[in-house]
Amino acid sequence: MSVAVPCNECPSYYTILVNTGFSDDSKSLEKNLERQIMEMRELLTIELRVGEAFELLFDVYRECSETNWDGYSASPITWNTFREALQLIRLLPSFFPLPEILAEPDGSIGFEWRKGQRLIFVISVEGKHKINYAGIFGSNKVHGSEYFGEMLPSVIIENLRRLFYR
Amino acid sequence: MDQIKPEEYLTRYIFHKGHFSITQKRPKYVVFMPSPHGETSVFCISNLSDNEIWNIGDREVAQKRGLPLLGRADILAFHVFNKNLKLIPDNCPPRHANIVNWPTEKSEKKLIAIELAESSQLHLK
Repeated sequence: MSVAVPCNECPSYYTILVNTGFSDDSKSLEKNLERQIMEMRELLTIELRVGEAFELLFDVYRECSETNWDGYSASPITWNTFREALQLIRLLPSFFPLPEILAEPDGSIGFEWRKGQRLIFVISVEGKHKINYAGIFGSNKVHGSEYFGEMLPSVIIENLRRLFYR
Repeated sequence: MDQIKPEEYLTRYIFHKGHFSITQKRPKYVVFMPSPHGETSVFCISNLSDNEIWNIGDREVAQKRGLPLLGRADILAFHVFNKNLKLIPDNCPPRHANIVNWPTEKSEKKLIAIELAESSQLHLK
């Protein structure tokens, strides 16, 4: 069994700050951090990239929201699945490239990162608070599923690090 | 066609533009993911010319589904057998078969589909 834990070193595109401290220092620290995050959000490149991902996601939803969209009796993408995929994009750490977004035959929305031949990691959501993932890293392979709630499961971040930074 | 041998070639016709990468010239894993009925529909294309392969796709699949045929992913049957999957020919239409015996776990299906896509070749219409 594994547990989803927040990755504090990995700010997402839309981090929401939660400060449980009461002291002046704590408040000051919160304001400082908030300002830095705002500055980061204002970086045009990041905004453009995330905006583009949202548009792609919506295109996929629009094109695949009716049965048999692939010609092989595929199930439609539901609104719940679309919303969960949107949440996932918001939580993706900003230092990873944005994935390719695609529809799967069972109505899931898949996200694919590929660095080269046999270097690939894919995840999918289906509106049921669950992420299914699979990846090939040369001769090593992984697959599994994780609960998906407020945070991106650490195993997903770990596998993306494995793909891009090792 | 009673039985498909490992050395024979299969093709999976593609009707969705998001299922292949033009820049990387490769099909994506979703091309091989099984349908909600648990099977991946393919055609055996051994000893057929390129034109004949496209004609089957147009005549037997695209026209019947009312969707434009965009491309196809060719793969050696060996790779399918190598993943403990089965190929069941039904010859309806001729040369048609289904890849079955997919694992029940979704993430495992995904992993197999990735490997099949990595072993296949994209052809665009």
